[in-house]
Amino acid sequence: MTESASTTRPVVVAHDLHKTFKDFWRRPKVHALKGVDLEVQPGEIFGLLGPNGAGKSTLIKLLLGLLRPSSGDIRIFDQSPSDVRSKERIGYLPEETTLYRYLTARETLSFYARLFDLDAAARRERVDQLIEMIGLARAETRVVGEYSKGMGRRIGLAQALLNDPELLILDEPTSGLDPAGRRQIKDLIQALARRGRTVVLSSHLLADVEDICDRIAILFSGRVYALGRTRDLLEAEHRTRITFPEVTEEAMRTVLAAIQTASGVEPDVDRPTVPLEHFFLDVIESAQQSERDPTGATSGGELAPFLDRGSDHDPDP
Amino acid sequence: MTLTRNVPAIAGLFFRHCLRTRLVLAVTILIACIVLAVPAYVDGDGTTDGRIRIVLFYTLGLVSIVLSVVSLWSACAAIPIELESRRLHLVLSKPVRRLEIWVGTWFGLLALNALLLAVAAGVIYLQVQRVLAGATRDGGETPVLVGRRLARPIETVTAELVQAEIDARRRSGHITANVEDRDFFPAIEYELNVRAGTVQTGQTGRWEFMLPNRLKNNGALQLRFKFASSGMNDAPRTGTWTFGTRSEPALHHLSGTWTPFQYHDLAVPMEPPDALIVVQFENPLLGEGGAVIFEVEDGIVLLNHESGFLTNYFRAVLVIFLELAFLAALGLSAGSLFSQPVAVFVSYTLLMMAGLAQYLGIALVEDPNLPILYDPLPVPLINAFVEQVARISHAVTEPITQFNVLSRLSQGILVPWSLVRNALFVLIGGYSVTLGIFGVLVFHRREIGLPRI
Repeated sequence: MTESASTTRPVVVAHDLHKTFKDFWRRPKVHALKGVDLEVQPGEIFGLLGPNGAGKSTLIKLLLGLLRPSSGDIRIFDQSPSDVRSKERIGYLPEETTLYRYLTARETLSFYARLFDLDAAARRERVDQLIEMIGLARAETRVVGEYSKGMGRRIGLAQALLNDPELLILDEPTSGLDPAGRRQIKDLIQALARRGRTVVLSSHLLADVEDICDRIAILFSGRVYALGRTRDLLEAEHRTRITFPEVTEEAMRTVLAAIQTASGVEPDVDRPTVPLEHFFLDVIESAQQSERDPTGATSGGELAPFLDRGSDHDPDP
Repeated sequence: MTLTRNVPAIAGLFFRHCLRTRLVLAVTILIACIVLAVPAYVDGDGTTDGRIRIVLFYTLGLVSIVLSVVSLWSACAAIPIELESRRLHLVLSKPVRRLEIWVGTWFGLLALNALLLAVAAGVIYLQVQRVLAGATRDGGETPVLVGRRLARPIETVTAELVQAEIDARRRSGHITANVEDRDFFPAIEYELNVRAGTVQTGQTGRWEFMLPNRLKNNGALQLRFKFASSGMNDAPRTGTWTFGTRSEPALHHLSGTWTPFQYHDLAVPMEPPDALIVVQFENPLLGEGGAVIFEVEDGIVLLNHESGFLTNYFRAVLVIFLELAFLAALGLSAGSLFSQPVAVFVSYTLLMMAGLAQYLGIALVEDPNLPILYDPLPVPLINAFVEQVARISHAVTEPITQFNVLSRLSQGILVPWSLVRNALFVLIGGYSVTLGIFGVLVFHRREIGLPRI
């Protein structure tokens, strides 16, 4: 999150937000949200976590104006979510990518692009760039009903980016994707955040959330039980880790003795492992170099040029 | 203005989606079967006119019914399917108002209806041409394939005449004192009309026509008539038609033999007069058969050519299209509120209730004292309520029922532009817009993505 961004108004504000679902006779049946308070600042990646039924999807539907709050207030860009003007600045990837089965990838993206204030040339250009970016250039003339789940997710992501949104709302963005696709999506989200876009993301894949989110909120039964910077929440209190290159046994004994003298406890020693994701991606990368004609989605290209605006800054350390 | 941007996009998407789901292909095959099968299995009266009437009335009628079902069904399904598949969530996350989704979907349905109707109308037109080509070789005539303006005779049965008849029957004791006049009025009015259209043997029936200006200025007139013989005898009847003015009612004569229970067209052998024209039918004493009874509604009419068949056909198809547009609005509004099966059920129920209201309402209008319930409930308030509901339903649905173009088209009667304008005004400007406002309001208030509780 940039410093300049943090001084501006929050992109999303929810205050004492309640949502109660009622049955046919208007009797309250499910209290999906019970007084949720949260803010999402510009340029940050905000993670919504929680088990099934915690209220994540309800919160996202409220953000999109699909549902109305029972009480409390929710604002996007200081506007009501039901105000269509706010939608000009939002991109949304639903949990399940439900597309028009009989349209091709290009037709699908062209249709969604037509719903924004873009001229025909800009629409074409963006569709071309996004198809290239998500790695479906080879399959763009196939109807999306023939796509695998992962390919459908890629199209879903592309449609969310058509308007170069200031706020991206992603519901399980990496579900159904192979590790390479997940890595690519995570890189993309981080690249967009570095360029000033705000991302609200809901996921069950905690490793992904940990990887990329600046802040997280953990919901359970409609209430926020934890809210804060990811690193702050995950930091193990009263523990310190020192990592250094491999040393001789003698040097190691000296270091451990010094730590034991200083702290009074014997430190744990182990060898760090490479994350499985990194290992897998290395294997696949070398496999791709030997495979001449891979099927399905290719790995995709760089960030689409039209999305590549704004200063590319590093996220907060 | 997002309306001009989003509505065509959504309409185009809906139309393309329908095309690719093979709905159009399936309906086209069904229509082709109807167009080919109906003329092959229904002969009519065996004449060229009869065959063309069959093609126009039954084939186009059946096709209209099929398209009505398709239109209503597709409209009922359009929004619920988008909701259930969650595709609508994605569309609503874009800068699209629900009004635009509703209107865009409606336009998509109109485009679908227009395509299917155009295909069907084109094939039926070719079928008519095929029948006509065969008839030309046989030297047959085709008086159906025109658009002729129609004039009915001046009504001779007035309210005063009916009242006088009731009074006479009271005096003679045929109507007792404890029965009110209005109880008998419709029946006696009908009886007098039948009497006015009946020509006994050895007598002459007389009808006067006040010709509208458009009818006078369009040249040659035609007389169309249809009659029944007393005793339901279907043997051909001989008679003489005379045409003239009030001062000279028998200027021109036409004698001939005609079959009962069929429409007959005769060229009137005189120029349309400035004032009214008098038409008489002489039922001779000689020969078999008794009285000749001309139908009260369409027994005798005067027609004259105003437009060719193609333009008349085009106007009729336009009216059918507007009816389909109304059905699409009805289905879409129901689908804005209910799930697909419920929307279908509600739409068809409403249409059936409208038909029932028409029946009850017409009965009430024609006979204000008619008991709505044959076995009325003992609670007068409920009876009064049912009667009021029937009256209101009749008033609401009555304007929709005035656009029956099939009988006009199949009889070569003009479908005037004024009827198309009325259909546009009533079906689209009135009913579809009202349904649309209701549908959009309901859709706007509806929460999307509710869990199933």
